[in-house]
Amino acid sequence: MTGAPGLERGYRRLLACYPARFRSEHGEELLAVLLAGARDGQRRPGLAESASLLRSGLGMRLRPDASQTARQGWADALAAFSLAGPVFLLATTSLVALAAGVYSLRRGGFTMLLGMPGFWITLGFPAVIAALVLAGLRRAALVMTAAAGVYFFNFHLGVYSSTFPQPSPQVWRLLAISVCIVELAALLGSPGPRRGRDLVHWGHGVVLLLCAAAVASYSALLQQAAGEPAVTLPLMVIAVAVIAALARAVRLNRYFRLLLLAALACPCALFLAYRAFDWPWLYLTSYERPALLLAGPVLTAAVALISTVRPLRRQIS
Amino acid sequence: MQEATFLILTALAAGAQHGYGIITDVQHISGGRVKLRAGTLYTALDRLRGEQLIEVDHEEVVDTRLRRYYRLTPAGTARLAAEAARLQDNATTALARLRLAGGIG
Repeated sequence: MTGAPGLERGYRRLLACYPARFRSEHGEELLAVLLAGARDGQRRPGLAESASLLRSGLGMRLRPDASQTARQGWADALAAFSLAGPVFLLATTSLVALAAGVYSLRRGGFTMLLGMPGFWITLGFPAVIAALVLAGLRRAALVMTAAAGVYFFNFHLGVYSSTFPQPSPQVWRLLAISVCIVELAALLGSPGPRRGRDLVHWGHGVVLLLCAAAVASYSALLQQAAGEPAVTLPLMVIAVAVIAALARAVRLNRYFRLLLLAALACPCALFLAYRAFDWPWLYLTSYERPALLLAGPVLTAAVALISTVRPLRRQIS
Repeated sequence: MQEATFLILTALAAGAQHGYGIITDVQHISGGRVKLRAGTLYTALDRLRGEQLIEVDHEEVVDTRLRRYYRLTPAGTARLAAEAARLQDNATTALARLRLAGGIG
């Protein structure tokens, strides 16, 4: 059966929810089967068939096929992170800025937020790096990430400031430094963001957006009176459990999950320690502070780099 | 192995079939109990091809529409045989226990 034009159009619209690779491989064939299975005189796709196509198509976008997942090692995890890391940082800083903007507006001082020292630089660095990795410009992104890392390290961590913290470190500020460290390793040790574009799927987007929302909410919550450890700790544990389960469900590369954890966990844990234990941070020297904060991301980045570079060297020799 | 996957591989065990043929055959094999949707079928076919359990046999164009026939690979045949044997063992054990308990004749 050739099918009514409206029916075919309807099915084609539904097939758009499948990934391009699947459509080019099976699109016409699947359309032929759908039309063959249609009732005589049917003009539009049925509800159950439409729901099934939507579920299958979106499921396929969210989860890469098993063979692809099995192939992915450190190199692919780093390639995916080289693309996803800056976008994640941009999403986080934008959400934090949005929350701060709403908060400032209520107090009638949005211009105060815009005039805060470093506001535009803090937002601008991730935006530029994200644009560079999306364009596949690896070397330029590497230079810009290194510059951002140095800036964040000085401005946010306040290593050389005797009065730090003032008044307290913010989790997203600490996060910016660890993302830069892991991003540097990702850009150095992977085939680069162009390869990342082939690997990243909707599942990465959903997980990273949830992480960004969790960090932004957590930062906003801690500005309020409700931000006591008794309230925030259980919320944090729930958020981590939900995001970890989702990352597993959408089959994110396990090494990618480790990289994300390295970038996220250290700042969050330190911040929590600050709130819960009246901050031993103040008593640390300016050398001990960065060592404590950066140990996790630096170690993970080093292991990732060694794991990626070693097989490449073996291949060359 | 999920039931739908098992039935798709079973439908291909007797010879190459195209998508619509697999849907009608699966319905027949399952006694009308399982009715595969086209989206579900092609998601499974795509995965099974990725796992190299099935492969394309040949293609033809019918009424200007592409029709692609699939067949089992040797790995697919072995996998189906192993799964069928496992299910048979389980069924035999279940029936023996039911007989012991006096559940069935």
